[in-house]
Amino acid sequence: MTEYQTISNIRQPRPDEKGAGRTAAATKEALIKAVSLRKDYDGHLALKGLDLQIAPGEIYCLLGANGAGKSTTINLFLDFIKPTSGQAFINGFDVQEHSTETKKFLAYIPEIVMLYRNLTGLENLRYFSGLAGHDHYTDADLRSFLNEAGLPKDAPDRRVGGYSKGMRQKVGIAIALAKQAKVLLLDEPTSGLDPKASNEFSELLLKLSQEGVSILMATHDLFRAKETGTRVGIMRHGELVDDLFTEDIGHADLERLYLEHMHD
Amino acid sequence: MIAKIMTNEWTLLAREWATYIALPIYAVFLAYGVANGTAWKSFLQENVAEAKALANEGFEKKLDKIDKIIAGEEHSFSEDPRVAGPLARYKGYEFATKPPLPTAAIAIGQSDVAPSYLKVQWRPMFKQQNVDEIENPENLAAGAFDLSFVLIYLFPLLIIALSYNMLSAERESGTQVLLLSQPVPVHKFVLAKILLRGGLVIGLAVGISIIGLLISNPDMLAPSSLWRVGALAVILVLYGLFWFGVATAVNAMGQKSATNALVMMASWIFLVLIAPAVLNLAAKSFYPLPSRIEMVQAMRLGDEQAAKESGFERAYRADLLRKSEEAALEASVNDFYLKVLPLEKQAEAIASPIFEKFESRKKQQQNFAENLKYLSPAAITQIAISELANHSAANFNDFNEQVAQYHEEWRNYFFQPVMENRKLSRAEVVNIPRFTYEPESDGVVAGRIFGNVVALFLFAAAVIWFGFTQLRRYSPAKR
Repeated sequence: MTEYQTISNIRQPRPDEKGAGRTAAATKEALIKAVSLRKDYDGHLALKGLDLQIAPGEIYCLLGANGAGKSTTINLFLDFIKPTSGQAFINGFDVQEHSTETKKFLAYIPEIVMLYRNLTGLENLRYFSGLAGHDHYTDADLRSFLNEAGLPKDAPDRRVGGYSKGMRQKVGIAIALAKQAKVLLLDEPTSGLDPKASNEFSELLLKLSQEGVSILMATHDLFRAKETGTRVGIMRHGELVDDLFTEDIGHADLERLYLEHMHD
Repeated sequence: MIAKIMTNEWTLLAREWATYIALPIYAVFLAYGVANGTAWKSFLQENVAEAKALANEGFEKKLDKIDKIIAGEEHSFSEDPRVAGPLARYKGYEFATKPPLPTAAIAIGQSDVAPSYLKVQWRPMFKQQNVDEIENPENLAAGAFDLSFVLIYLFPLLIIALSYNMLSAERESGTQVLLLSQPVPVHKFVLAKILLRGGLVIGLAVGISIIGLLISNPDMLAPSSLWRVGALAVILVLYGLFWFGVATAVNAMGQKSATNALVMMASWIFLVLIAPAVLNLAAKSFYPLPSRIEMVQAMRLGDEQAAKESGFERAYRADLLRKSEEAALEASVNDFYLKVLPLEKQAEAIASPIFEKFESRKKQQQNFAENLKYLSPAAITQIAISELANHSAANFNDFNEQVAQYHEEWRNYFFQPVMENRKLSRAEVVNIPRFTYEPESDGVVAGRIFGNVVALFLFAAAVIWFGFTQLRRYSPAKR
């Protein structure tokens, strides 16, 4: 992991622990920012003017029912869809105007990571890292990313066609780790993982957060959101209806709040 | 970056079993097309040589007979080949031949319907008995499996098979979101995919065609043929790029793979099968040819009218009857030809409007089709490739014009002696003009092909431009 450490050392500042950067974060330049971001699909309003800022080191968990606008938000930050109005920024760059540029700073893990079936896990990682501009990794570097992501030792040289969903998800995590991005966009990334792997993933996120990475994660997992996130946002019908710091709320309160929003 | 994507695409293709079936089959088809075309070229060569030999033999036999007669051999009047009338009308004949060019193996083109040799005598070319090569009607209906068939029909099919889902497959399999979350714009992926697939498919088409042609047709290793080989390569690259452009445009629409396949097959069916057929049909219905029966009737009418006007009757007059049998025959024959040749000319003149109409309609039809070919790149490519083989409609028109001119020459050569009622001298028989085919100059053919190349280029550029413009709006997200 020497490579990774070197790069992450450059990132300043580094919050010491989860939530400690609360006041500091507010003053730092947000790495993920949405300004009146709006998406209208032929009359269906998927996102109603979202304003959001996520500072370095913050893990922002987006909660909400299916269709609440979580994936739309992430897709807008990825420039996979164009906003009807408003702007999305990654590391200060307007996503729409600097589509390719902003993707240098971000890594994305979709709900279901799909890879090239006829390539091995290692080959997939090598290709995606190469696309990200990291041609310099040795096989050993790549293997250690896969290892860090929790992929079994014997898996990297097998073709992905024989992988389980969880294993593919771990390769997706390794791809994100190898990219050494400032911003992580995660769309229910733990959906295929068993509780142990899910827990390991949370630890990885915390580690990245400590290194100054901004993380936006859409999830259904209230428990994980409370445990891992520094902030949670609750979305409903394309609107961010609540935005709070996880340290300010207990598990039970978060669940009650969430259900309240879902019910009314 | 492009090289990296191409390497990855190559690895993916190399691990796909279908690649090991599709590409070899395609290579075999190309090689078979070359072999078939080469065989057809030899067939034409043999036919032409046979016809020429037949004509030569005819002339030699006559000279031989003349020499014997001069040496004092006994002979009857009708045996003497020097009598101008019979020699011009039926005893003498030339085979006007169109020997295949070295590049003939590229495409059979029109050479399976238009004869490569024509018998020339006095009678109008229209009345000349049919001496066409006999071709299997099934072949004529289905078209031959020559190189141009493989290139025009099968080559785009392979391109479609390899590229109809170049974006949609990755969107459907889910890899695309990961790809496009990397700092590489979608058009670079498409470009890399096209470059790899194009390199493979177009490279194989150009490589196997050209190497195969040159190996099986060593006579093509001359500048006048090699520029045609170069033109073939350019045409194939442009035609291939056109189809990759269609694939790009279709993929850029962001539809499902199945939809893409359907749209591309429909374009193939339309551009390759339907458009050329509709083109011909349109040409035929806008400029219908007068019926052949009408022409035959016009010809007969002309004969009758001319006969009536000239008061023609065969000379069995009393004065002839008083002569010896041989002398009477001679007088009768001379009298007949003296009258019949001008009469035929007159009859032809009477019937000529219908012929002219026929010819001009045929030209209009061809011009019409020639102009409408710009509606389909497949039609352009087909015509251009036929031009390279010297088997296009234009090439055969030129040959037929040369034959018509030669036919005139033949008539003029004999007309005077017939009218003078004399026998030809030996030297005159030796000097009977012979037909030599002059292929259209490289400049003329290259000029016509240049127009096709420009049109193909515009087609390819337009779809590629459209495709890449559409890609700007491409979204990997499902909606």
